[in-house]
Amino acid sequence: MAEHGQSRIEQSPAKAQRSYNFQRFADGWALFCENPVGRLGLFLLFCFGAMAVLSYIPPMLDPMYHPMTGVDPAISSSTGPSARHWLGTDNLGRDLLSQLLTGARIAFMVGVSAAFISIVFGTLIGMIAGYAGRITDAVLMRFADMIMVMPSLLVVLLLASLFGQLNIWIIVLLISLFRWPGVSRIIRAQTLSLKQRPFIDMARVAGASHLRVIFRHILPNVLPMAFLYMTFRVTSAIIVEAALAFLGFGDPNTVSWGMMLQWVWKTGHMFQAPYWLLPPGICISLITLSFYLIGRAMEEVLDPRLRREEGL
Amino acid sequence: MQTIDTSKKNPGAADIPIIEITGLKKVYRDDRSLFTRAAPALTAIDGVSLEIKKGEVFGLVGASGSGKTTIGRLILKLENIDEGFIRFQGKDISRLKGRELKKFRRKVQLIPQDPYQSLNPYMSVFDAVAEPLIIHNAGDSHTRREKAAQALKAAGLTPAEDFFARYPHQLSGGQRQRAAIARAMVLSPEFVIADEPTSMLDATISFTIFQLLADISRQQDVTLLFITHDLAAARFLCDRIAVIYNGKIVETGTAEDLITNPGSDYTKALINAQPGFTFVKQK
Amino acid sequence: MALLEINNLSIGYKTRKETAIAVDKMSFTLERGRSVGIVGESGCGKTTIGMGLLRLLPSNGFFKSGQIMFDGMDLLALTDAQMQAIRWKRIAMIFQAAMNAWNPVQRIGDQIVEAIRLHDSKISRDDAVKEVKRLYEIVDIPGDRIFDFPHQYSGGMKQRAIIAMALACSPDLIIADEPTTALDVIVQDQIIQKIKEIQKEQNIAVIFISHDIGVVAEACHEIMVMYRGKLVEKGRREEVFGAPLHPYTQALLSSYLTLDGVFEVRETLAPAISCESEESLPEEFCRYVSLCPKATEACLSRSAQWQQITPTHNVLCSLCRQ
Repeated sequence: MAEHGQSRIEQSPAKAQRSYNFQRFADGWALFCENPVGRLGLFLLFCFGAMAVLSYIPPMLDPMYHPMTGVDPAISSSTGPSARHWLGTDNLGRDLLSQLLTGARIAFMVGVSAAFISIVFGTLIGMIAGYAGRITDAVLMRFADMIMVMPSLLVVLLLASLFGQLNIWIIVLLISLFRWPGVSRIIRAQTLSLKQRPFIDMARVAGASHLRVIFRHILPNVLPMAFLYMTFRVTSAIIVEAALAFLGFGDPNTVSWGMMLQWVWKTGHMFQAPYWLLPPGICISLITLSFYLIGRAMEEVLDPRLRREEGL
Repeated sequence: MQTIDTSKKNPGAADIPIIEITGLKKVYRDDRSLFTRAAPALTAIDGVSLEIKKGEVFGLVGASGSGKTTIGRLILKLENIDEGFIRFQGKDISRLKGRELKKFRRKVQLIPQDPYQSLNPYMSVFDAVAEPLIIHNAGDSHTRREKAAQALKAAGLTPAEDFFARYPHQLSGGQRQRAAIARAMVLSPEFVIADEPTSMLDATISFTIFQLLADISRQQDVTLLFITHDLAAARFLCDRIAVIYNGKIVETGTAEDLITNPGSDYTKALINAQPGFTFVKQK
Repeated sequence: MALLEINNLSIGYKTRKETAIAVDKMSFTLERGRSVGIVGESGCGKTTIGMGLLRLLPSNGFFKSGQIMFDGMDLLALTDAQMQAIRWKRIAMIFQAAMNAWNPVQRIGDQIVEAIRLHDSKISRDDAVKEVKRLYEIVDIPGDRIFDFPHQYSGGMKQRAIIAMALACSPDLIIADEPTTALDVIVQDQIIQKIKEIQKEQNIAVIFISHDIGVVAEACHEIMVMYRGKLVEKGRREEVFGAPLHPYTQALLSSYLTLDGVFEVRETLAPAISCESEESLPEEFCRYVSLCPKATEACLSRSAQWQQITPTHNVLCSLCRQ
């Protein structure tokens, strides 16, 4: 009876499936781009991406432009912008522009990898807690609560002062270890509501193992949410790294924006060299803003309740 | 238009029980009472005994909250039994474990209530229908394809290959329910529970689903437990009907008898409340 | 003059991609004290009609054309404030799943009293409570239950309390949209009987919207069948259900199962002509062609015309000439 509504799909199944997935992505993308918030976020992100890519160029031009070791022999104190050094130099004669560009690379590295690790932990633990329920849930969630209430910056500072300078990857790992509980709470809540959905019962009736239910049925349904929270985690990871670096507990072998700020401060140029102080500060604010904006726009794409147009 | 008498739907129904339920009880307790006041325990199933014979279509009719869905969930081992037994082919299902349980899962299937919720939105029709085959290691990828196509065809989705790559939201409600039926039937189960399979569908479409279920029960060697609130639908599909009220079976009988000659007051009330328009038949 | 007269009403929804027409050129009249049932499948536009009559369309809905005359007033021409005064006072509504609309932390009696006083500030609280007592008697809820909380009521009682609330201002017209959908058969029967009884006693006109032809047949004098936004058949209950003419009405009726043990088993009749979908056809054409077992090629080339079978029985199908 009245079921012939859909037009028939003429292509081969695999092709149809690919084009369907593409279609779904394209629809989401269109919605995303329609949103000025998302467009602004993307634009900013694109700028920082370009900075990160361009960071490879200055050291290639002249070793003098190496952000860490390159020193302009002609300069002995911090100077303002010039044709040779577009943003000026620090007090050792190192080029600020190349430091700023490299900072973008480090920010991406720290932000994305810390966010990714915390999302993997958070999603796994959230799904297991939500699906298993009872005692497993209680133990995992209390553990998450404990980490959540820990003053993470303080603990990292403590570790840093105990073990001396931390490698940038250790910092990334520490940040992600402190940042998964929020994700796991959200994923757990989603899993709890998914667990009530009949298709989970259907999978169990078909004889699916718990692992299959979790990874084949629950995971795809929580992934979009996990990705959404990843963008928010990126923001917080970048901020934590900058704070650590500024306080002097960053990796001394990398040039991050937090590090640059620390150098300004330590060398007493806070009020003498605005050309040195402002760029890293502004960059930190804008990159976190861009990820935040992208997250907000993604949220609207993923959560139909936040959308207005498709009434009926 | 033809008029047929449907009283003998399954003349082949043997007299061997496939499901025996004795003294079944299920109580829901609210055990989270550390900070909240515990709600009083709710007895969902209160001493139910039933016997479903191999090959028949058995109807379980009751209002919402009467416990009819819970009985289905208990038979499917989606919930634990508090008291009493359910035997499937003579074996107590609460003791099934490991390989035995997997065998049981292969033989007992569910046709769900809400087609909009019962298919994973991220799985294509083929993935959904073939999943039971994968779980039970039935055949290689080629035979799985064939079997899935057969099951879809039997459920009235033709040409089956056209539906393989679609996702649930690309199907109409009736098509989704057919896909769910194909998924339930793909392993050729021996016992299928259909839990209000049409409550979310429009009248003309639910009628075609009833017809499909009737076809399946007639053509395949399968026993069907049809759970519904609609006495007329049960009358259309079933050989025998049990009426459940507040967790207790109030009456069991052949579909014919139960409706023409109801024994309990509740069944009588149910029949009287049936909305209808007898004048239509006067034409 | 008829209480309600709808002429050529079209209602549409704007979505991101397109404009969809939910109700297409609908016309009917309803006399005081009569009841009309609108049946159709989900998505046929029957709920939109109910909302449209109250001018409560969602923000993306709009009136495309037509006129709604209620007691001599053109509802679409009224200001929002005037419309607000008519809503509930003269046209009351019982919505789908309205029983879940009670505020869970307020006593039901208080909610009704508040609603009464909101519409007529001159009534004192005591008088309003008395009024609620009277209404509760009409809908058979014991008076001592007035000040219970919603969760202390059963589903049927909550729905009856909704009816009491709808009656509070003695309206001329009640729009009941799927008023019994979530209820048990027995409770459903009680609610239908109650609505019928009240309608008769108070001479109220009722528009009964449902997907269940059994419910509509039991409750209404007149029946209108809708399909994809269009009325396809209307007439007195005996006419429409006793001698259905539109192929869609016939399909709807033959898929309705009854208890009497004999079933008119229709082989699910195949569509007579092959036609991918109606979308490509002009709006005035029949919307049922692609599924219709009786359609002819001619249906693909002409618009569907209303045919008058009897003065009260009309059908939108060019094949049904008598």
